[in-house]
This record gives sequence, structure tokens and C-alpha cells, in this order.
Amino acid sequence: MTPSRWRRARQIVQILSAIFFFALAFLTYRGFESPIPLDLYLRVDPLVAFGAMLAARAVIAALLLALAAVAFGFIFGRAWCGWLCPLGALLDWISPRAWRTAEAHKTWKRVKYVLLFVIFFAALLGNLSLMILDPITLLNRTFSSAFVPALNIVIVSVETALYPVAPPLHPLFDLIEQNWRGTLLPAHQTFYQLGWMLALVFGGVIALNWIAPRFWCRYLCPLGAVYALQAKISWLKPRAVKDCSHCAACMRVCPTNAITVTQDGFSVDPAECVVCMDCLPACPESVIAFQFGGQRSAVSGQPSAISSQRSDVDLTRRHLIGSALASVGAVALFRSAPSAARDDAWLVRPPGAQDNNFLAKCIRCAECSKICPTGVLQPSLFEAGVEGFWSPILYTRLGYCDYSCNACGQICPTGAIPPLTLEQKRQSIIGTAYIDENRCIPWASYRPCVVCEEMCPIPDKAIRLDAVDVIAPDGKKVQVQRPRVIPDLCIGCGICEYKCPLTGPAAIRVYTPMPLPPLG
Amino acid sequence: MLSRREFLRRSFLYMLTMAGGSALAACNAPSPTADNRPPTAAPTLAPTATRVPPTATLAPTPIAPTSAPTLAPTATMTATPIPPTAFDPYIAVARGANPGAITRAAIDALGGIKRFVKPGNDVILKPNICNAAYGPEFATTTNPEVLAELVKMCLEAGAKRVRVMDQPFAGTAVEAYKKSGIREAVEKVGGQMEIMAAMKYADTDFPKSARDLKKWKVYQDILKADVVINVPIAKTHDVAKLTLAMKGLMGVITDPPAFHSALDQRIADLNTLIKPTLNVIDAVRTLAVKGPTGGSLDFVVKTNLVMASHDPVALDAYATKLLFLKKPEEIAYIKHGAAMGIGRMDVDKVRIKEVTA
Repeated sequence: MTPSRWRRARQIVQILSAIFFFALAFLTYRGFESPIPLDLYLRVDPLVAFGAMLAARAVIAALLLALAAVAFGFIFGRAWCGWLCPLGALLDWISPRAWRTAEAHKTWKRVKYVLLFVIFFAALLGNLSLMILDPITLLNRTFSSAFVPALNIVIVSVETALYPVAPPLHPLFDLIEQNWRGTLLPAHQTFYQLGWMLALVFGGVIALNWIAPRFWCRYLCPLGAVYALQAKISWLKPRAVKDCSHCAACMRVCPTNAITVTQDGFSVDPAECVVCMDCLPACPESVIAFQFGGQRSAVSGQPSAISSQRSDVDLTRRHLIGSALASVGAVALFRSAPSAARDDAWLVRPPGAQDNNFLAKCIRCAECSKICPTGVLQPSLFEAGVEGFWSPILYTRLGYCDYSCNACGQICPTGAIPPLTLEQKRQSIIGTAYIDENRCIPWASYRPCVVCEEMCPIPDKAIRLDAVDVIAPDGKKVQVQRPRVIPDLCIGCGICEYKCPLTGPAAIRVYTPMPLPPLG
Repeated sequence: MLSRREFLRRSFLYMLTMAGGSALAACNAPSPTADNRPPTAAPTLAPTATRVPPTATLAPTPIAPTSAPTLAPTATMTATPIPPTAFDPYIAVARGANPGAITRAAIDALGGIKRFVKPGNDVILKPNICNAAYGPEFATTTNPEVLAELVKMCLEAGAKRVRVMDQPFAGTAVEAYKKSGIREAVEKVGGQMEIMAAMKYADTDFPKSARDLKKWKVYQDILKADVVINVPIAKTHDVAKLTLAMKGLMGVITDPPAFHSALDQRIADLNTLIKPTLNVIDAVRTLAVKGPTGGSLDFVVKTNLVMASHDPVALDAYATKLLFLKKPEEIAYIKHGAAMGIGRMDVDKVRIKEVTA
């Protein structure tokens, strides 16, 4: 293939990979039987796989595909970053034109390694907090908890505005509402507490491109660091196959500034090269080639000028020890925070996750948020402490755990949410509801309301009604039906809290479960 | 100076940013249920009685022979779209083991589907598909065979299209349509399942005769359709006591939970706005206790009945007597409905035709 064909091939693969990633993300909905795992990109993510397995001290079978990614890394170096990574693709596309050679200070390249080491040591200690920095989880989270709900607002607003005035568009609206609603699009509008924050972080990652192209990939990305370490000894490497005139055209097009051309010759830092092959067509003399193996170039005589490698980054023992100490310190602080002593009252975890060593398995990928049909599963703020930042919890005022659904456990790539059967999930206690008698309508306002009892899906009804004669404020005797929770029956699905017609906080709220021994 | 191209590019980017920002801001809305909540009614502190007793008594009730055909002279149904004199019998009830056959028999006893559906009509069937948890044997959702038979009959009468829809209160419509068996049954005979779309709900003024509701968001297609057939399943309910035809219409409005502080009056009010051409109560299986969600076969009584009438009040009153052995006036929304002239609850004064199939 000619040099420009190689670049074109890379661009096409990159586009297809990004489309594939978002297609899988859109197709992550309840009931969709996919021949390809919908969490494929997480499964082939070595950072996710080995982080989760280290922290959980278990072999997670679904993640063993990442071994293929490791092999890929040893063969192709950082080609993942340039060819396949969907975040890398977005960063390539949303990028200022002129500043290709801009660079932050060279030492910043170390940051990604330090982050990787911190993640590694923290995982050894059973902590996965920094998995929020994995590019796939970052993209997935932003997609499911910021982009999709915002997209849905746009779609429904346009439909609502045009439906009465534009009958020719009705077939299109019907297509969307009858075929995509509840599958590709959320069944109802979902509302995410941290949607804006996720969008800001994602926007920040993109905005860093204005400091230097692919800033995220070059300086911060811990997954990039995994591949960079492998690239140092990878099989495929860019080389100069003959003498060059040191015109430095390649250096100017390299998006990651991996190439250095001086009077002494041409050199590439394989840890920075994302194998984008932009340099191939840029070279007027076709000097550069990506070659397998350790073969020397065809040109002899000037070995220093040809195919020499350099590395700006010297990782010292100091970095390693520093990372280890930082991990120990941070994890120790997490574990001495209040969240470690007592669960937050509102820490309602997905079904089965409560006693599942959850934080050591959850990679914060938000697959569960995407598949949850009611939008109750959301990235948390500090309900699980700083350690559990952006791990999924149930905001039962914004959704509920549907009695007919067990999708989150089926999609979870690491088993942090166990794959319960529907029958098991219906028995799984995720929380307990309590009634605020000071606000509940029949209790406090002497008016009828039984919404919570009506909605309670437990066959025996975990909410029951007591008919009580009371004296209303006007002095009249009235009978009200006061709801009462039977904690032994309540599974904490939260539909009572979600449907409570009060404004603001519900008069019935789901708290962290409180397991008690059987009565008597 | 900006070039024109650059100006346009920047304007577009700003607009995109603004649109994205507002969309995100909208997603962060604090409560999905807070909008458009009309002022609640004056406190109706009507006493509500205790729950329906577990009904072993519900086992196949023999239909009491009605009195000699009394041609309802008091029928002043100004509300209904078809002249009242046409209704003899006023209510039809069919009994038998085959849900489809008794559905057809009940409608035929009223004079046939052609009295209600004209060629070219756009028909909507509104069943009760309240959640996605159970199949039809649990009697929480309308019987699919009853619906399929109705779809068939409407198409035989020349209906242009027959749509079936409800808004489940738990789970998604996609799942609920599937789990209830209704999608499969309806589509097999040529009906369409419609997922009720947010764009079709619009603020709707209620008629003057409504006592409490002035305005609420209502599914517009229900108001626009030529024929609406309300097909509830008979169930118990803890505030309304029973959920039958009149209450079933709560499936076509937004935010039903906000209804509950004055539920009975509002159910009656809803029936001033939405007037189904025909009401068919599916009592093939009846959820006798723990409604409306059920969840155990122990709660279900096989009653093998389908009853139909153009008058939702009369039909609910009749079902109340027949299935739940209660007086219609114990059910507040039936009482309100009768008092407001939506229909009649003196069902001992109308002719009821009983058939078996």
C-alpha cells in the first residue's frame, strides 16, 4: 500500500471503530440479545480487566478477552490509541487545525505513568476509584448519563413542537417513538443528578486539545500508559528505512510529537507514537516505514541516524515508590472517612451489589446506568464517600428498580452487580422504605392518597393501609387510610418514593437496608 | 473583520453550545413529576371504607336472573355519541370458557360491533396494561384474547386501523406489551400496538361539567380517534376500591399519582372529557385482592365473564354488584359519575342481556 493509503486505512478503521462503539452503546438496552458482547470495548480494555481482577482478587472470565489486547499491544504498540480507541477518535476529530506541534512540558508525559502506577497500587489495595480515568469508562459514562438524556430532551422537544404543525413528519416521529422508544432511546425521559458534571469533565478532556493535540492521550490517559509501556518493546515500530534530508515534515504532522528530527537524524519515541501513519504521506522522500521485528534498515552506515529510538521519559524508582505511597495514603484516607465507618443513609446499591465487595469490582463504567429502563441507576456523588465517586447508586426519587427487570446484573462486565435471575432479584433486598409521617398526605393532611401502596409490587404488599378515624382540623371526624411499611417484606425497589405525589422529597423514602434477624 | 464564513461557523458553534447547554440543564430538572400539577381540589375528606375482604365468595358467581326486560325510560344519556334510545339491551354480559367467544357474544348481544364502529373509522382500544411484571394468568393486565377478538371485530366492521395502547405505571411499554401477551395477540390479527409518546400529550381543558379538573395533559389521539373502546380488567384497588372502566381512563393522562388526593371526583371528571364509544370489562379472570399489582395466582378468581355497555357508569355499577357483591353507591366514583349525568348506576332499572358462549 502506498503511504497515503495507509493513512486512509487508519482513518477508516478509526471511524468504523467509533461508530461501532456508539452503536454498541445505543444497543445496550434491556432485552437486546446481541451476538457481540455489548460491553466489548470494556472487555478488551487491559486496564479495566487487570485493575478489576487485582482489586477483586478473582479471575473474571468475561474480562479475559483483555489478554488479546495485551498481545495486540506487544505486537502493535499504541496502535489501539490511533486506530481503535473511540475517545482517541473524538480527540482527533475535535481538534484545532493549526497547532499540531504544540506541546506541554515534556515531563508531563510522566503523569500518565504515575496515574497508571497509582491505579495499579490502589487496585492491589482493593480500590478502583481512579478507574474513572479509563477512557472507555469515561466515554461510556458521559454517553449514558449525560448525552442520552440530553439527546432525548432535544428529540422530545422537537417532536412536541412540530407534531401539531407538521403532519408530514409524523411517519418519522412514529418511527422514533414506536421503534426506538424503550430500546435505543430511554423509555421515559431520564434525569441524572450529575449529567452536567460528566459533560463538563468530558468537555474538559476535549478542551485540553487546545493546549496540545491529543493532550489527554499523551499526558493523562492511563490506558495509553499501559500500551505505551508495551510499545517500548513492541514488534511493530516506525523506522527510517533510508537516509533522509532532515526536512522535519514528519515532525510537523505528528499529532503526539513522537518524532524528533535533528541534524543527527530521525528518531521516534514508540511510547508516544500512536501508529496514526500521518507521517508516511508527509515524508517527501518516503523514508519512514512501519516495520515488524528487529531488522535493521536497508541503509547502512549511519545507524544513529536511522531508526534510533529515544525516550524523553525516564521513569525512576522514585516515581514508582511515590505512586505506591500516594496510593497507600489515598486509600488509607478513604478508609478512614465517615463513609467507611457507616453507610450513608441513601447509599442504595443495585440489586445484589450490597454485600458483593462492590467497590473492589465496580469500574464505574455506567453500563448499568445505560441499561436501567427507569434511570434510577446513576453515578453517585459522595454517598459512597470519595472512594465511591461515580459508582452507581439508586436515586429512588428519580426512578425505581422495576420489579420485572434484572438487566443491570446481566450487563455488568465485572460482576460487581451479580447476574441475578429475575426471581432472585425480586428477593434481593436493596433498601428499606420508611414513611415520613410528618409529610405523608393521609398522616399529616387527612386526605386520601394510597399511591405508594398501589404501586408496591410485592405480591403481599410491603405497604399496607390502616383505616383510622381521626379528627380533622375543622373538627370533623374523618376516616383516613394511613400507609405503613412492613420492613420484613420491603425490598427497597423505590417505586413508592418515585411515585409519591408530594413535591420535593417524597414522604416515603428508601434507606440503606437494615438486615434484622427473623421475628420470634 | 470576520469573514462571512467564519462568522457563520462561529454562530453555529455558539448555537450548538447553547442548545447542548440547555439540553443538559433540562436533564438536571429536579423532579420529573413537578410540572403541570394543577391546584389540588378543595379537601374532600370523604371517609373511605376498609379494603375489599379476601373473596373466597368470588368463586364463579351465578348471574342473578334479572327482572323482566324494563326498557329504560329514564335513559337521558346526553353525553354519549349514539342516541340513547338505541340501547336495548343497555348492558350485555356473556359467560363461557372461551374469552374470544364470550367477547364476541357480549358485543353481539348489544347489537353487534357495527353499531359502534363504522367503515373507515380510526379505532383505539384502551386496555389495562399496568406493568411489565406478569403474564395474563395473573389478572393484572387485560386478557389478550379479549383484545384480539375486539380487534378482529373492529376490522370486520371496516375500521381503517385499530390501535391498542396503554401507559404502564411500572416498567416500560415495550416490556409490558410483550409480557402481557397483548402485543403478540393484537398484531397477529392485524391490530397495531402504539407506545404512547410524550409528544402527543397536551394540556386539555375539561368540560364545564367537570367539578374538580379544569386542565390536565391528555393523550390527544384518544380525543381525536373516531372510536375509543375502553377494555379494562376487573381488579380491586385500595382507594377507589375497584378499578373498572371509569378508572381505566387514567392510563391516558400524565402524572396519575397527582390525581389521588381527590381520586374519585377526578375519575368522574375524566369521564366528562373522554367518552369511550364502548366499554368492555374483561372479567375472564378477576384480581380479587391485592390490586392493582397482584402477583400471586392465589389472588385470581376465574370468573369467565365479559360484559359490555356504552355507559361506563352503568357497566361499572353492574360489575361492582355482580363481581364484587357491593352496592354501586359504595364506590364513590360511580356515585359521582351518576350524579354528574355521565351515566346511570340504577342498573336494576335497565335491561341486561345475558348470554353464554
